[in-house]
Amino acid sequence: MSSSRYDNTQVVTIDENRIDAAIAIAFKDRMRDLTENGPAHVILNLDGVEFIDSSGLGAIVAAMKQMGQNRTLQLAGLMPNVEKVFRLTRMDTVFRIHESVDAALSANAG
Amino acid sequence: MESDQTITFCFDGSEIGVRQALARLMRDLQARSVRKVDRENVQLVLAEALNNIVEHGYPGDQKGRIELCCTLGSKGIDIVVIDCGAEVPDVVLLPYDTPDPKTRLHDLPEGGWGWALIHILTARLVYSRSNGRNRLELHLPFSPQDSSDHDTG
Repeated sequence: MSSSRYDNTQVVTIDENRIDAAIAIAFKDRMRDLTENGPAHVILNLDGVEFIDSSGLGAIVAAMKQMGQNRTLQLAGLMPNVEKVFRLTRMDTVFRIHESVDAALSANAG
Repeated sequence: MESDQTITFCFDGSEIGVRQALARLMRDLQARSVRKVDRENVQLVLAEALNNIVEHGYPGDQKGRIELCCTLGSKGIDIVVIDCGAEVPDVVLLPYDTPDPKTRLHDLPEGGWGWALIHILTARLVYSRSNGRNRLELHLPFSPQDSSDHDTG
C-alpha cells in the first residue's frame, strides 16, 4: 500500500489485487500505521482491487473505526465486482463512495 | 463422472490453500467459457464458504483437506464442498439478512456477512453431515444474458 497527501486529504492506494481472508489482518494493521495522526479525510483507492470477500470488507470497516469519530474513510475506484459486495451487504450506505480518486479529491476540496 | 463440464480437486484447508483453489477454479471456469459475472459470483460464494471451513471447521492447528466439485449445467453451476472439520451450526443455514448498517460508527459490524452473501447468491443450499464429513451443496443460477453488470473478460 502507498500513501500520498493533498492538503487535508490523504490518499491510500492498495497494491494487492485482492483483499481477502489471507491478508485482512495485515491490511487492517497497515491502515492503522498509515492513517494514524493523519488528516481528517482518507480516501482508499481501490481501483486495482479485483476481488474482496467479507473478511476484506470487515477489515475496511475496522480501518474506518480505528480512525475515530472525527475523521472519514472514503472509497474510490471500485470495480463492479467490488462495488457489488458493498451493495449486497448495504455497506454502500456507510461509506462515501467516489467514482475515482480525482472525483473524491474534487468533492473534498469543494 | 468426470467430464468436460465437471471440475474436481482437493486442497489444503488454509487461507492460502483457499486463495490458490479459487484462482485455479477461476481459470478452469474461464477455459469453459463461463461468463465473468458468473465466475465472480462463484468466487464470492466459495470464498465465503471455504473461509468458514478454514476459520470454524478447521480452527487452530487442526487443518485438513477440502474437496471441491463444480459442475456446469444448462442453467447454472452446481458446487459440492466436502470437509472433515467441525459441524456447521444450523442457525447459519437459514436465510437471514445482512447486519444492520444503520448503527453508530463503533457499533458497525466487522463481519457476519459471509453466510448472508452465500444465501443471496445461491438458489439452493443443502447441508448434510455423515461419518464426520460435512457436505455443502450450492446451486448458482447463471445471470441473465442482458445483465448489465460486466460481461466479457
